[in-house]
Amino acid sequence: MLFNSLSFAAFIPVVYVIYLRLPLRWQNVFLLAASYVFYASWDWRFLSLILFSTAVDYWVGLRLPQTADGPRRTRLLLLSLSTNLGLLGVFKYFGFFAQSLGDLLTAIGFAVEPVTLRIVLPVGISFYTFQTLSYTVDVYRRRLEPEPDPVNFALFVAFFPQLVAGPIERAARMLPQIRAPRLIMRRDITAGLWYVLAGYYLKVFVADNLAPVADAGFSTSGPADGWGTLLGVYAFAFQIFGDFAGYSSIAIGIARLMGFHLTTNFLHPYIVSNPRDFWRSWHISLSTWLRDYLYIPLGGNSGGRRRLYRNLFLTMLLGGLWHGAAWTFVVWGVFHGSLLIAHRVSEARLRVSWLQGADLASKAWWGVKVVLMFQLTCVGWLIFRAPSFTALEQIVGNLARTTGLPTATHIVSALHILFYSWLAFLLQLMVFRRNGRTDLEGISPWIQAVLVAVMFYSILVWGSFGESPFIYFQF
Amino acid sequence: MTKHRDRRRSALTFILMLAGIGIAVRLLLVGNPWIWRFYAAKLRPADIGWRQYSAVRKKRDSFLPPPGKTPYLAVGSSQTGAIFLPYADRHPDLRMFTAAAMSPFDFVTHAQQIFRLGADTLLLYLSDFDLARQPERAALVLAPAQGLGIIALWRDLARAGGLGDYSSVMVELTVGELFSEFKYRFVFRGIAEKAFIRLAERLGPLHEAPATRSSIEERIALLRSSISREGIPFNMYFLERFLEQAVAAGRSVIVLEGQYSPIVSSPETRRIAEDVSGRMATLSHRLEGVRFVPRSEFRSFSESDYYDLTHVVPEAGYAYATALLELLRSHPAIPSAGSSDGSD
Repeated sequence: MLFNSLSFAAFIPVVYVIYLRLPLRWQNVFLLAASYVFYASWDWRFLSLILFSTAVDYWVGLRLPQTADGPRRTRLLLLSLSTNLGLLGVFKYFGFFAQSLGDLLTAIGFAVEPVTLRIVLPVGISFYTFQTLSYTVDVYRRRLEPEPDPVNFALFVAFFPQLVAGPIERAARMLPQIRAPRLIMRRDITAGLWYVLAGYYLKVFVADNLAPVADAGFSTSGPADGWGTLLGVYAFAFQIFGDFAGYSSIAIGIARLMGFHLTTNFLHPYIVSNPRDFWRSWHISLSTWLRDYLYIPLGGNSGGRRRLYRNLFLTMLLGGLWHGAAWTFVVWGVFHGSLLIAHRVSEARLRVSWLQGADLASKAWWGVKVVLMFQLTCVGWLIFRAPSFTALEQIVGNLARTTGLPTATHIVSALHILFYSWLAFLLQLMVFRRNGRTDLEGISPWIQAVLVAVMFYSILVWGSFGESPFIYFQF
Repeated sequence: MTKHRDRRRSALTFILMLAGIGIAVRLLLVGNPWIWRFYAAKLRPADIGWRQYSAVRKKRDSFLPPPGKTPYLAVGSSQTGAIFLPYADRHPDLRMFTAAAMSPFDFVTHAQQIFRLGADTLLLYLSDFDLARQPERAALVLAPAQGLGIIALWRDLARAGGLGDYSSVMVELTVGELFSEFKYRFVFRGIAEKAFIRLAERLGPLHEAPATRSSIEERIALLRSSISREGIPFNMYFLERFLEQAVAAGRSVIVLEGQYSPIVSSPETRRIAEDVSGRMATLSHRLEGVRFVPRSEFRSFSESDYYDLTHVVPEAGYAYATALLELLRSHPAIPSAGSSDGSD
């Protein structure tokens, strides 16, 4: 049941109307049932996985406070870790590692037939396993009291707006909201509707309309077309932003209409001047998760520069692998890890002191860095979007062969990119200028009305209503 | 208190402004006759598609005063257009209401526009080509505004067993009832695309992908495969609904058994054609004011009359229409709807 499907258009009003009429206890039971229906709409068999993961973490969470420090406590944590990472390993990475091992053995002279299983990737597994894992780790670290109510806990794991593509919520933020009566104020309704509108705008106007340009650019069939590939990379940059930020925005909006406040997942990723700020603006719930449960446990930035670089590298490598079971994602993670390290190195050694104090020059330098960072991000998207290394090689080859001026066909593609992404860029600029505020509060009602009208009519007239799936569902 | 008042004022300004924009957009983009003249003049079938082009012209014409009465109106798809247009261009006693891929569902959704043209007798040229094929969704969604009739259309769709296949069409039609900007979005897309292309062409010619033409054998196979018994009940249901509406509106209807190029026929398509013909005959017997004319009672086209697999050349169409109208004038056997002595 995609957010941009007819079945969801029928599902959500029914759920919302019933939800509003129920008392708190029954609201949670009802939301849990609705969440399971939502999840089962992909494949009812996936429900067993989420139920299993929920049951294990609920039980471990309850047992941890009753268990004294020592090996028993560690074993409980390991049970949760192995269950969740085991599910991920089997359902997401088994085929990848089996194939890679087979390829490696073949390369060194041991021809083996890799064990392959036909396993369907359960939608959203990467999101909810990380969410439930964070709960157990927080309880283990005694930073969080376990949730005694199984319904509340199960709802925390399965809350349908953010179940299949985030934001990845923390128990410390969600569980209190689930337990307490939810007051839905007028500002929640207006903010919720705004996030839903913005989300659909980003998905059906920006992302789905740019998909054909991106697909053509990354196509490896037909003659080499350097300009087409270049335009495809830029189109993909806005497609993936529209697709993923759009999903998050719809999730945040629907949750807000129900009285829940979810984590902001995107700010202004293409208006940043360095890779660190990029990760503070892009998929924030994942990057903060990786920071809190991987980077800091590895030692973070304590223990010298070498350790810091190693930790950054490992965190981003695993962050890349989280996105998908393919070597291109690993390389993408390594690329971003390298960017973060390079940024740290340059920050420490290459201070551009002559610009300090010169306001205009410093703004111009900042602008140059933003443009440069966007180009580097696009290099990352090139790796990310390529279906394989062979395809990546061919696509890079196409880019290298870019000669002469673009043709009229390229100009049309460029106009499409501008037409479909201009407001997505302005929205990022608005968030940037308002120091990360993503709602409309405080903006003149005239501007609000124009913005809402432009987005509404863009969806209505130019929206692509083909029910195309969200890119991040595959992760 | 002041803060609360400010918030209310902001909310009111926002709502009024939004409503103002909505009204302005509606008037400017879809709600005036001049803009439709502009769209019809600027857009071509190659820009938006044949059926969409028909919809733009029909919308443009909807702003014109209704024409005076006329004896005959040919209603149907481009096949009907190919047959009757050469005659209608030269003779005032026949008018046309055609659109590419028009199916019986479209007859129902366009019924008021059809009746508005003031014809006494409607001519429908129908065969298994129209009644045994699944209607094109892209065409169905271009229906004009139905008003409250949309509820009856939902009911009819359910009765015709089409809720599974065509509910998305009905959702689009329903949204289009509220927002005609949505229904006619292909117009704005077409205009924008033309503007992009014009801008880009200043820099050089567009590299269009060469059009791939399928062989005659492939097209015959495709057409044959599109004709199946499964499509008959849905189409027959809506044909019956339209005929009932026509009779209720005081129109007579002549249903002419249609055909396509004989080279497409196969034993299976012939069986389906017989089935469709039988159903149309049964239907016409049941409805007063409706007459079915089988091919055997009038005339058939030969292979050489077709310039493709489904459309006849103008000369053949003119000859057919002339002969038909002469026959109708000399043998006014079609009773007007509601007359008590109607019989063949």
